[in-house]
Amino acid sequence: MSSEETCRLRENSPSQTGYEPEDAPRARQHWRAVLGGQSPREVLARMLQGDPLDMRVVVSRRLTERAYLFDADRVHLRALAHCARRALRYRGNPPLETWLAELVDLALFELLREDAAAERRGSAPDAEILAAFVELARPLGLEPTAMGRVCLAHNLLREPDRQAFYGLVIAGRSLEELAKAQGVSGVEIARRARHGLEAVLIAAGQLPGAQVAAVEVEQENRLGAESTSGVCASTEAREPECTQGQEPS
Amino acid sequence: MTPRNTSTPFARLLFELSRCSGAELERALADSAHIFARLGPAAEPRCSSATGAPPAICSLERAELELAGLIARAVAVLFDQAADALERGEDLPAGRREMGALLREELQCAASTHLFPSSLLAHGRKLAGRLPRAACGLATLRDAAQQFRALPLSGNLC
Repeated sequence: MSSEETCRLRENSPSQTGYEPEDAPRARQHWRAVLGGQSPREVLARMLQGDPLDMRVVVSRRLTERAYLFDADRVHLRALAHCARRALRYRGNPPLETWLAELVDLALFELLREDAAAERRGSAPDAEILAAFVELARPLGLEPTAMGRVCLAHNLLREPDRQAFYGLVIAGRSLEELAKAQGVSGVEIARRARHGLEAVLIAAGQLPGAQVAAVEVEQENRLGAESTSGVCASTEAREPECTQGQEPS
Repeated sequence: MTPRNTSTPFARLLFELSRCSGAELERALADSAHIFARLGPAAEPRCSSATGAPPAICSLERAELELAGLIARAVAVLFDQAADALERGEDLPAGRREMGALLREELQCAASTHLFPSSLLAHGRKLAGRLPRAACGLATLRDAAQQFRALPLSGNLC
């Protein structure tokens, strides 16, 4: 994760918080030239030549802001595909920075759903997907497959729990600092971080059966509630909308 | 509570932390910062250098596969929506003409990637042309959705 400490643990969406990448002016000047064309394939080719809209910056920031542990290249590729597919209909509204951030959020939502579905099916992870976890797993003495499960478990946490665990554990921030940033008590942050810890423990095979069942029931309930609430109707063929800040399932 | 596998320092730490709560948990996390500190740099995403050139995985070929996967899924959803409406005896959600137009647009995008079998695209176009006249059978629409869904393209999992 990048070290954008000031953006970290932000609960609200970029559009709600006035989020704007530092290099936004450069991207804003060029979008018409980049996103215009005859076909999505043409746009895709342009987007891959030097990253003219700074999509990788947006991916990096959204991962940090939303406290996800993902292979950023996968997210980048999926977000590019969404961008290319919708580019010809984009007319400058919402602002480019917001539009790109929404596409990244949509990519995150889809990948998380696909990973969760693959885990439920018990499918062996793709070698390309596993490659991203090698670096992450080594210092902790875990296998890449186990690390993949740990990351998925973390990503499936409710956003407050994910932010608390990420802030305390990954970013190394203090309980006090997090409590202040999130406007809740230190005890609440510790409680949330503990939820995160339980999910990680399950994924790493470190929690006894009874507790595993309790946490899994909670996760199932959460996924069920989100799938029926129609969060990010991303498979809709016609301009799917993904509201930032909403939780993927 | 017995740990299932405490073979690594991380596993042992997780087990220890699982027994803490409240202020105890905070203290334990602080005490174990040196172990988690190893995770911080490792968790740096592969593209966090952001302004640099994309790595090899972000090739045009790979990106096209992603794009084709999205299009295939969108086409499958449209055919399914048409089939659902037919099954319920209702009009199409976006109107017959609009649905046909949407399908043709998606199929045109699909053709531009050169990753779809031309016979499948032709079949899809034929059905898109028939939609406004309500001249498609339920089984035909479901079959078309299934064919697009079954293409071996990235993310095409629904």
